[in-house]
Amino acid sequence: MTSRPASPRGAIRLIAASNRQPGPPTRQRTSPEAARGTRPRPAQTPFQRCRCRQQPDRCAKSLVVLLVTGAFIMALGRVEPAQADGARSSRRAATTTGQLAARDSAPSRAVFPPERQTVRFSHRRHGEPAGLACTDCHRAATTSRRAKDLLLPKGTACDRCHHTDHRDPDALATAGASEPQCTTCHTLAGGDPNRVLRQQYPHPNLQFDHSVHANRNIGCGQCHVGAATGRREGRLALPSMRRCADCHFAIGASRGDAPRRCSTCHLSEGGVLRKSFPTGKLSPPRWLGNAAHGADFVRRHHDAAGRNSRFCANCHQERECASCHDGRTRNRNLHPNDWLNLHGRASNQASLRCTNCHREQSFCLACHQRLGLARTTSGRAAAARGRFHPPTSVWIDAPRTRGHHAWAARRNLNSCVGCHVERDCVGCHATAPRGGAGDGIGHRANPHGAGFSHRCRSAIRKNPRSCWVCHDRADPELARCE
Amino acid sequence: MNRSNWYIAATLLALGHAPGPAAATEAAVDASSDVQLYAVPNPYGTREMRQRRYTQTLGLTVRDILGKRESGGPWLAFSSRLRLDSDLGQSASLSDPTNEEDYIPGVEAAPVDLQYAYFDARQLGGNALAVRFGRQYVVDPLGWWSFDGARVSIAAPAPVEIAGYAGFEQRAVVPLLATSRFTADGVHRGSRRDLEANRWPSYLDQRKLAPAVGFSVASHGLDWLDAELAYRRVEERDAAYLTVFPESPGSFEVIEQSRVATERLGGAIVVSRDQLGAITGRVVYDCLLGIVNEHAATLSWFVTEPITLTAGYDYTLPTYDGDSIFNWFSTNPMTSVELGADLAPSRNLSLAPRAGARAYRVSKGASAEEDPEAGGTNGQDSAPNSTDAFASFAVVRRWERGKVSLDGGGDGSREGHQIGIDLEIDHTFREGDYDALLLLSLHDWHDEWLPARDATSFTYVVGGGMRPAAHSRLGVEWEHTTNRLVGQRYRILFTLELEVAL
Repeated sequence: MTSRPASPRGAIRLIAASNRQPGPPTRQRTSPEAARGTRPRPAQTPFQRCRCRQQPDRCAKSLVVLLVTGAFIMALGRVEPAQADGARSSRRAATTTGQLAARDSAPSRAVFPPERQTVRFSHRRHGEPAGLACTDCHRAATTSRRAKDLLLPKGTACDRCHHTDHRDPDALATAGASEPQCTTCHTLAGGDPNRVLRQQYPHPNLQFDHSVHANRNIGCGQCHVGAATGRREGRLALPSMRRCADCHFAIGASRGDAPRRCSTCHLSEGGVLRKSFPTGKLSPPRWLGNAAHGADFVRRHHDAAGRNSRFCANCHQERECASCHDGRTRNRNLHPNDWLNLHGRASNQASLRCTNCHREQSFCLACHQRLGLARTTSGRAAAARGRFHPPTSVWIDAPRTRGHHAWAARRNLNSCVGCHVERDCVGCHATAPRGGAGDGIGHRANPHGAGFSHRCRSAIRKNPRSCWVCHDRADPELARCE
Repeated sequence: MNRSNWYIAATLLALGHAPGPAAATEAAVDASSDVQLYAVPNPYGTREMRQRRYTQTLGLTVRDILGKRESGGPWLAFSSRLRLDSDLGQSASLSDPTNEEDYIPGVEAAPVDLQYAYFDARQLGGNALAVRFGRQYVVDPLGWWSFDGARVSIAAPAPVEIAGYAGFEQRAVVPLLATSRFTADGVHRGSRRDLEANRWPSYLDQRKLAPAVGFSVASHGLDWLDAELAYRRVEERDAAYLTVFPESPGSFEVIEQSRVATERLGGAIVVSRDQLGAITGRVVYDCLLGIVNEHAATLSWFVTEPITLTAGYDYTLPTYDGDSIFNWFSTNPMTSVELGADLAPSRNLSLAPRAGARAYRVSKGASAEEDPEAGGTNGQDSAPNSTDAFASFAVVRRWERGKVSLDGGGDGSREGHQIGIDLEIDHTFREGDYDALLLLSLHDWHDEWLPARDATSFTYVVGGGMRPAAHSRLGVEWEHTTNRLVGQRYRILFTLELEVAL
């Protein structure tokens, strides 16, 4: 019997030792410490590597922040959306369907508003086993021309097989039953045996012509996948957009006459697709141009718009873009909190790429000149100027450390251009004939980067102005580019 | 009358002479009015801008000018948007060239801007041809741009659309508080009409029109491929000073020849496959400088229905207007690498955690190997390259009448850090007739080189609105920020939005 170790560290060692399997002797490696004659450092366990033992307060704070954030996110996930009564009932009736809908490629709630289905029905039993075709019950399915046509069969369609008579509710009775067995199919309203819950099927928010598709020999099951077999019941049997795209976005002959336009199926309003409905908003699926509008899409829409703005224009008008991008008000999603003080730091770090939307020499400079931040400004504003940058000994003088202006400019030149005009740079960096500090290129600080000689040939031919600001036209240095 | 006003007058004249709309023509006028009051002090506490901004936009849209569109028939529309952005708190002396002490070129008290005004004709020539004429935006892999002119696009039988355009550059960027060509990139440019020759030499003249041409070839109508190749070239015809430090007043050397302002070729591509993932890419080649100055790519994996994982990188080397010497100071790129996920556990809940690093190549400086004499400061560098780490997360929970969103994130490096979190709740009442907003925001930042500008800042915003009629909204917001830099700062915003169908 072994004594219980006093510390967890000992326990881990003991377990490690007892688990060691006998085997052939292995070659012992000499540790660097042993080679140097110093005491070898004991191997650290994961527990020992954890900094919680060294900084318990910090660890506890991190844990609290993590728990609070996690709890918040969990709470968000549990919030029940406000629903109309009908929709809520429907969801109770088909909880399983709803859960599936959220995870599967279920039809959109915005396009197909939630229905209130109160009839128990199984396509599995009514289809092939009963020898019924789809059109035996959904009689108008091949001739309907409007999406809002309700193609579900009336109760009378059930009478022939179920031996009922929906024309006379009082006479309803199943064969062999003494009482009407409405509950075979229907759900009772509030337990009242004489009232069944009404069904509600709101109009879908799209336009669709069943007859066009039927005339092209497109079978019901090609769009309503799994409906005939009962694998997908209720709203899950409605087609998803992915299914429509199989034909409407196909290439060549397989597309046939199927139009590619979004407005072929989606409703239009004001020249673009209608996006907002009482039951939700349309949003592109991720498989369509990788343009899914996720939680932080507002920060990333620049890339999507740059890739294919024509796609965006299907749903968005220019005025929607302009209403945010015209600078009427500050967009707090991108520029939060005290942005007037925070933006300088964000610009230095390029945490948002400012130049995606702003041009420094107009948007930034005008304010910075008025406030006396810019070096080239009016007399009164210049008098109000203080020292913004680190001391001259760090900012200007050699050697170039992290606080040097050359380092800052190389790191992110855009943050310099928000305050400085070219005159501020030319004063030192130009050649002497152009007002620079002289001695070759001003202060012997050549701003041209590696590979410059390849870039300058094209530039001086197309626009020599930027060369001639710092170099006299007769400067022999320019001949190397010409 | 300045150029903007000429455009406005010409547009109104064109509208006046347009054929009378057919019975089926749809027209709508939309307007927004914003009043906001706040103050912006400078970092030294010695000067303050008292913003009393009144911004008014006015839009007109006329659709189906040729009558109700039948299937395949031609279709004509007109769209325009006008903006007035006046700062009533601004001193008149700022824009008075005779005031030596206060004048700052380019500052306008109440600029009027015609943002766009164009006729749009589609489905011409058997649905293959589309023409847009007037002042219009172009958004493509090269960025947001606008010009005055015509754009013609042809949909080829293959899934390809070819477009070409020509005209005069109106704005090189998004229209954020900027008008006309004043926004030329990298140089300080505008009208020097009232300026003496030796005053503000850094402020370059901008009087002549800048001819521009471009084209694009794009994929069309494919669900698995979006690709576009775009080219644009803009000419600069204005004279510009070369001598920024003249020997004597008026002794400026001037360049007058026509030259290239911008010439870029760019492309973007998205290849996506259902149940699998997507690859996106973008590249921009600056023809003027002969360099690839931007490229980026992302790889997305559609793991399951609610989970998408993304990895990407982004490389950028800033380039500027062809006249700008900043092109020669921009030698070191920055590259970001990011990993992220888009999660949608339910239709109403979405999350997006991301993290990455941004590397700045700094230490390799002057071209010593090319010109050791001129690049004499080589060897003085003791600063290494720089790397930032950053992370962000966003959570949005929507319900029928509103949403709650949580945004947080930060970045950090040896130069400092920035971290913050924002919680916003929006809710509508009584069928959307009323709405309310609550925003709580807590941010902390530290700058190693400007420690005096460090702060921990708390902001809250309370707002509300009502819809007096369909497509209209009247709203008010109160914003209160408190931190050690500003003490207490308040901002009030009034908004009125109207849309009327004619």
